[in-house]
Amino acid sequence: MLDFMSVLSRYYFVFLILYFVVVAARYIVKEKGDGAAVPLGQRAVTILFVMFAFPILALSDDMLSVNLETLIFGGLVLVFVVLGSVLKRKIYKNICPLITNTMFFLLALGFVALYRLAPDLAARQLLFAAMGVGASLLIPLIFRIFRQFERLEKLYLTLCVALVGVIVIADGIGRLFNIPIVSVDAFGAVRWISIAGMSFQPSAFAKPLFVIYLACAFRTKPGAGKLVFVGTTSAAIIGLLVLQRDLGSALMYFAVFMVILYAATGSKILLATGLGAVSVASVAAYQIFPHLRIRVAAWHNPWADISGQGFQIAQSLFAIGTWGPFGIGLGRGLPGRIPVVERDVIFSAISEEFGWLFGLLLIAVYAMFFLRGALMANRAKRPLHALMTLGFAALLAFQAFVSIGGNIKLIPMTGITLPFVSYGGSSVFVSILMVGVLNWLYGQNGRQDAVPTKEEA
Amino acid sequence: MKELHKRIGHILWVFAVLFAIMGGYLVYVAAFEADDFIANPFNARVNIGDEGVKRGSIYDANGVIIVESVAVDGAYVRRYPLGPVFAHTAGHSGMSKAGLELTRNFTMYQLRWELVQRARHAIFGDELVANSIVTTFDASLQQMIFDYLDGTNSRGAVAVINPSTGAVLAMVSTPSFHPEYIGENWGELVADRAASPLINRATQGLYPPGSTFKIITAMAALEQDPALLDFVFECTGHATFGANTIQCWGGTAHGRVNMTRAMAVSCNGYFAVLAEKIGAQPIIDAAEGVFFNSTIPFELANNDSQFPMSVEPTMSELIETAIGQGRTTTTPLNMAVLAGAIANGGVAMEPYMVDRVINAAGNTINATSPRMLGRVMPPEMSVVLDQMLIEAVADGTGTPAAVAGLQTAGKTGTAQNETGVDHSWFVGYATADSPTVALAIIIENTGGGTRASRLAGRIFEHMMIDQ
Repeated sequence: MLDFMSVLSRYYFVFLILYFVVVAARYIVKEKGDGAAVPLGQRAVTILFVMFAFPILALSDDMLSVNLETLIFGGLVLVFVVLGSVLKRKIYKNICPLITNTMFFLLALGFVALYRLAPDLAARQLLFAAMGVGASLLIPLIFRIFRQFERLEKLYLTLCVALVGVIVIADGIGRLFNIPIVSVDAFGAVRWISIAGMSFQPSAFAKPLFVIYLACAFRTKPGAGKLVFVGTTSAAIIGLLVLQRDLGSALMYFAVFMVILYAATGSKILLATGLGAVSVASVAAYQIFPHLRIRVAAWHNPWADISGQGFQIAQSLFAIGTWGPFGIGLGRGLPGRIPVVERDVIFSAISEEFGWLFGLLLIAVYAMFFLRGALMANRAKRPLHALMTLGFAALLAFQAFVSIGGNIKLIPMTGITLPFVSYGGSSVFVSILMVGVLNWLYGQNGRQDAVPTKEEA
Repeated sequence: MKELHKRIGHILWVFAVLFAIMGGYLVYVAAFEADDFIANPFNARVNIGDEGVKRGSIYDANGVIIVESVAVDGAYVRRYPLGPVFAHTAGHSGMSKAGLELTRNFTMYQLRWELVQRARHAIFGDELVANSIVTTFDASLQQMIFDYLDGTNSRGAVAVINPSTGAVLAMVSTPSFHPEYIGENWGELVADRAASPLINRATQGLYPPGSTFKIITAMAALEQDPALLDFVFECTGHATFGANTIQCWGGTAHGRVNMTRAMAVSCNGYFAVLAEKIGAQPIIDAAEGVFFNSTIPFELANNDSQFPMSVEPTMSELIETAIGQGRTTTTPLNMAVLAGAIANGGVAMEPYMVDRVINAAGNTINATSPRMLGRVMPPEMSVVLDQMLIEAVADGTGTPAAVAGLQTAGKTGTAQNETGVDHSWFVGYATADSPTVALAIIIENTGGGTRASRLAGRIFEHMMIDQ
């Protein structure tokens, strides 16, 4: 009987996410037209998802006993989703229901996927997500205090460089005094600083600052001197990331830089220059860094060294490919066999048990998120707001692209988290804040006639 | 601002393309490519079976059970009624998996109309029966070959295919093992390095081709100049090339021979002279044209035939390679594919073992369509080679493969090897005018002789007359 239910649940979960995507698409189209649109039922999808997933995880194999802890955690997730959405609506002037619903849906999916892999990580993630939502409630207040925040351009740059650079310095100090301050991930990238048992990832906090810096710098048409300055400082920040071997982040920073640069100037010459520079830099990096060559080789043919460098990507592909479009069913697969699965390869873990069709629709969820973000940028009254909105949406969407693309072997794996879903305190905290800023910007630029999101329960 | 909106539109398109590529690639990997890589020993998922499901069976082409699952005390147990006969092809399933049990693992756990079956199981307690595999094997032929080799305690391998489709009719490797007891006997099986019973000699055994390689030397010469068919050489039992001398078998002087006659009597001197005439490059091209140094796509682990001769070999290497000694090695499967190509008018077919997948009711879910590996020689050349191989059996070294009332074709070989005791080869097909069976046989350490040819005759007889 449990087998039957577990099999049935696979179709059910695919149906839920399909419904979510269809509603999102309808909303985007309608909202673009007459404006009176509501993404009906999306919050219900998230709640139903949580209400089915945790009982399945809680049931023992023989169906005779129920793990109470799992149910309690599921209840907490439910409280988080409902309370979080309600509070956001109360505090913000006007929020985009689609962006907000998408965030909570992805967070809920992440809690389920993480709880299934490692319950303690899911608990930590929930804590960080709650902190993130709590902090994002302060965003309207902060912007009210710093009305002319765009004038602090240099401050953002300084902070950004400091946050990206601190890990290089900390690494140096750690090596000098032989104390473990920074930790190295599976790819040899130094990303975390650990102080007193708590570890955090400074470069995660640098990301939104980088976007704000670029948006402020390009809010008026930049002259040649400004272009050189912003280009050089951005290149320096990306260079620092490459030094830390954090190539996934470097790629994301570069993509966001190009997006904002092109949106602000529209210059094809600058576009070509940027792409040309990064091509040359990539070839040079490939020649210089042996670990980069190893990773590209593992991507190109993981089967050649399946017990070594190709192991993680091969396991990721096994997880995606073994059980077909509807997966093996929640709790029945072997996602734990993939190294660093909860942080870097969560997409494959989800695809294994929910099916690759679910994975495909998950890609569509991120695509809708970006589409909506770009349309919101289009509606902004000031270039500053347009560039910030576009930058944040592009950053999160491109991060999803690099993460999922690495998991499915479209591009080399880089150890980047999947926004809102992967385990990572700093990452989830910052991502929630970015959505907070998106929503605040939306409130500044929303339709005057828009009904302040009276949505269904 | 209007310009900005236009540019945001451009960026939107770039992202749309990126996400579309990603979605498309996911579908490509998961729906189309996955079947080719998931049956991997590193995929731990092959070892988690659904214990409530009756795993599918493996049948031969006529419905004979090769492997099945049987309920014993409420749990399903894997049974192999033919024991060691299909150990290397159907494989085994237990702590580890191999053969079709590995490559078709997930197929044999798949439930057709899963939701319906699960519902009936939950409500009425019906058995959950997964899909089964119907192979191309002829179990009676396989058994006969196995008995022939195993009964004489021979080490060896046989690959029999249908030349026009590539369907594998039999594939035997001895010594073998009983798949059901592989767990208990594992240590012993692995430790026996000399006999290596776990190796499938038909696909993984690399043997010197011996005189069977003369087929490829002939192909190289005919490709170079079809008139060489009529090239005549006076065989005195040995031929000298500078400091090197080539002996014919037993020093026999074959007299004046053309290519057909030289093939029939397996004249070493003739093919050495031919190689000297045409040089190394045409022979390299011919060998690589029939899949040496490349991989023949096949469901089971198979080694690539090795042809390491360089473009500028020494004279001794050139002439030795031309008669199948030297450093060349090949698998029985490769030689069977070559024989099949000659029988099939020059077109090599991809060998395959699974004819179709059927559901619990016996209905076909998907069937394998034969695939071409490629044209390896023009039709005219296959006709010429056909004549040579017919003569080799009718009036040459292959006479033990002759069957009364049938026209059979083939080439014998004696492979010198590091053990010092020669292996015996036969590569051929039947019947010559409408071939339905192509095969390659190697029997190790027979000291040469005719055992492989005699087994070939038995196989032709079994396929053409006994049935």
